[in-house]
Amino acid sequence: MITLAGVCGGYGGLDILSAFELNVEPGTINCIIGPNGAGKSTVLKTVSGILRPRLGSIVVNGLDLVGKSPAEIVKFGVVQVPQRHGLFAGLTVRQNVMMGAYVARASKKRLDARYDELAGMFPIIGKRASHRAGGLSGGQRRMVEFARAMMLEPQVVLLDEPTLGLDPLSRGVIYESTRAMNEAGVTVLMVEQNVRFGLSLADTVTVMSAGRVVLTGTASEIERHPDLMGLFFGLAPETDQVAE
Amino acid sequence: MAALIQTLVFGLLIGGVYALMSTGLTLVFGVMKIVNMAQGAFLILSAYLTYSLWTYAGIDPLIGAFIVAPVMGLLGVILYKGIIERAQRIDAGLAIVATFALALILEAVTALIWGPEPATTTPDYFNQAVHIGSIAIPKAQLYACIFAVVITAGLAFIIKRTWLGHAITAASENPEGARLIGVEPARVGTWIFAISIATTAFGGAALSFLYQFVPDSQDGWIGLTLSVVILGGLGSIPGVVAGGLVLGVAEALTSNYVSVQWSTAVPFILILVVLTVRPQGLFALHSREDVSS
Repeated sequence: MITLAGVCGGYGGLDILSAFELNVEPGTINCIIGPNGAGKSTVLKTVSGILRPRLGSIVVNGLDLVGKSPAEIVKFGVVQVPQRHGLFAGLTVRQNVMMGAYVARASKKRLDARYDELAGMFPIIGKRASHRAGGLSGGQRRMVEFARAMMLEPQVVLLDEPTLGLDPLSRGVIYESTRAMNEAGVTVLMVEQNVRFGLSLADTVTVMSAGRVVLTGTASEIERHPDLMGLFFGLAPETDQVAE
Repeated sequence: MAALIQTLVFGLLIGGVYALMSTGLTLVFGVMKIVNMAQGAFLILSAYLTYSLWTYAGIDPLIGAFIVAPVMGLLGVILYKGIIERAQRIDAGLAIVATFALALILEAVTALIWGPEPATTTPDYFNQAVHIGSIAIPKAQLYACIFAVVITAGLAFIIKRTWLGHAITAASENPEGARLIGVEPARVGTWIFAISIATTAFGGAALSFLYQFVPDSQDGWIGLTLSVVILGGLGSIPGVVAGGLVLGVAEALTSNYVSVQWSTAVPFILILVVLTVRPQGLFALHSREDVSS
């Protein structure tokens, strides 16, 4: 269970999130959608510890993550795949994936076995293990980032706009891979600009505007909601509404 | 022909030493994007410490380097945490200015402790040579070059094969991405500064028996080490090796076939050529730029 309660925070003293509230059930896929500047990526950065919220609590499976370092949060099992530039171009694909276990640094034998397991789920890391990550296409890089996120068998994976800049074929692969991660028991909290993609993948959807939650519900409820289009064209509802 | 081979051998040996002296500079730049203007001063301080161990305790410079290295590494940690990291938090440019200030302070401190007289160490192998046919290989340069190969290979191993090395690569390429997998760039920065300053101890030891030095010799050495790093590609260890060898050979050829006076201009001529023809240096890596993630 992920619970964000009364979270306020942002950059350089300016709050992007204002009294942000979110509940994500374990084992589900939750997608946050909303117009540019709504604060979607900021939510993920506060959960992963990159940004420290000014107020509020972020509890994941009973542990309050506020004040914990990104390394402690990764060790606890919450991993973020960033929006852009997640890989290290100078390292090989294998080295990039292995770096997902940096905080644990388990035995080589165990890590090799885990790598082989993940190669079944993300074939690219088996085929191009010794290639430099800097030479991969956008879709391939995403797959390597997903595999890296799965190295330590996380409880929660945070995906920041996983389809950004990808062609339809690669988006299909992202869809299948996200489903596969979820079926492996991982709770997925994702942020997505591509509303259709987000709605097709998520169990529950949260719609944000100006740092607050304006709608929550199942994907089909949100898809049919009359205010959805208005939100993306700057016609946000005056009060918070819950579709459920 | 023998004279040419002799010149090339000498150039390669001294080029290896140049690479050793410049490794710390490229490491710091590669990770922290800081040009450490105190590299020359650290080299001279290391040379003086080696000189004192040799003068007062009779410790060979090649062994003394292993005593000086941890001391220099510790000094690196103190200076990084006390000055560089704080300056870097304000502005990366300020950190470079801080290293320049450090160079001046270190030069003054070495002058106060050791005085302005030229110093050098003269171990047994100082003026001996190994002969292979008609080629004479000076032992001092040979040992210094072996030293350079071992230390540079050790560093390359750390960078390519260890968790610390991969964390260094990650933090240098993508600090926020590194934080997301639990690598703390500030902690990596401390390590890298300590390692880079410790490696100058080995360069300083070689310098102590290959050259005479005074406190303000650091001015010349920062110029030379910068040339090596620019030649090879900022931040690249293979690049530093290539840059050192190219510079060493070019200097030796110029010295032998043009004039000794012109050999001092070689580093600056090479910098001009490289910056014009291949500004990224000999060994810069490229990634695909047609993808956003």
